[in-house]
Amino acid sequence: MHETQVPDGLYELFNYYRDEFLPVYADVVVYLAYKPDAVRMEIENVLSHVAKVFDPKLDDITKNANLEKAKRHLDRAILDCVKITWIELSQYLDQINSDESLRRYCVNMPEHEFVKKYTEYLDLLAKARVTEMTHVGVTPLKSINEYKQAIRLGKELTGHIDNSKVKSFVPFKNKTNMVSIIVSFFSGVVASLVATWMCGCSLSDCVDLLRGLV
Amino acid sequence: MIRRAEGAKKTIFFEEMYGTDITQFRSTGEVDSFIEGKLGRKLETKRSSSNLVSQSGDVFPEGRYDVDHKFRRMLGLEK
Repeated sequence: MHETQVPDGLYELFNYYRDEFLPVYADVVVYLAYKPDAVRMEIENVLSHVAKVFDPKLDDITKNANLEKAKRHLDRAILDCVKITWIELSQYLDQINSDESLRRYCVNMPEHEFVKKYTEYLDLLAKARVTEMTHVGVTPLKSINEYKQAIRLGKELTGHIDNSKVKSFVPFKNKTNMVSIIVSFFSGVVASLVATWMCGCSLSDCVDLLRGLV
Repeated sequence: MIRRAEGAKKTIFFEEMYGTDITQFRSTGEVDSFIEGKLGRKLETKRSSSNLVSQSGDVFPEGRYDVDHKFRRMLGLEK
């Protein structure tokens, strides 16, 4: 049996795991109601590097390098969690914001205020993305906090959306659209008949024309 | 149970939705079990489709493999 002292870096790594990773992991799993595989794979990679820290055949330099790699995979797992959460949240918010009727009738706040906050939300996301890209491989925590800030605003916006109204409004809107299409079609047919009649054709010609259409 | 102030919450959805404290959970397994208990079903793993999510550094090729399903098929319990 090998007696190996646990490196301090490992305690730091698992403190980071509990303090930073677990909260964002809990959020993404709660929001999706499933586990995203990208995150699971990053955690597998963390484990494979941690296993090397306890490999007695490796020297201290290699062990420390593996500890650093494990930390980077954990960083990526945290980033993936927050990004997956905001992607899902954004898809829902975009669906509401891009539909004028849903935005107007299914949101419990003035429309202009919703649009303003939604724009602010998009700005925060864009800012977080820029921070992430400029800090690649350096410190991802800064962009993680910015992503979280954007998600908090997105969550605030979803709190103003009346889901029961959205569920009942969508079928109602589809039905109204269908009625509108049918009315337009028959108006067109009647207009054609009237135009044909005004051009001096007889009623039987109009009926023939109608048969031709059918 | 120690509760933190509202502004000090570490999670955005989890603690508010289930009225719990994330510091009580020490691993992903504990979080999963808790959520599974609330959902009343096992949590599945699904692929995240966005290209914004990084998958660099992965050693193994990714594939779908339902062990339980394949096992039941081998035993002839399922087609």
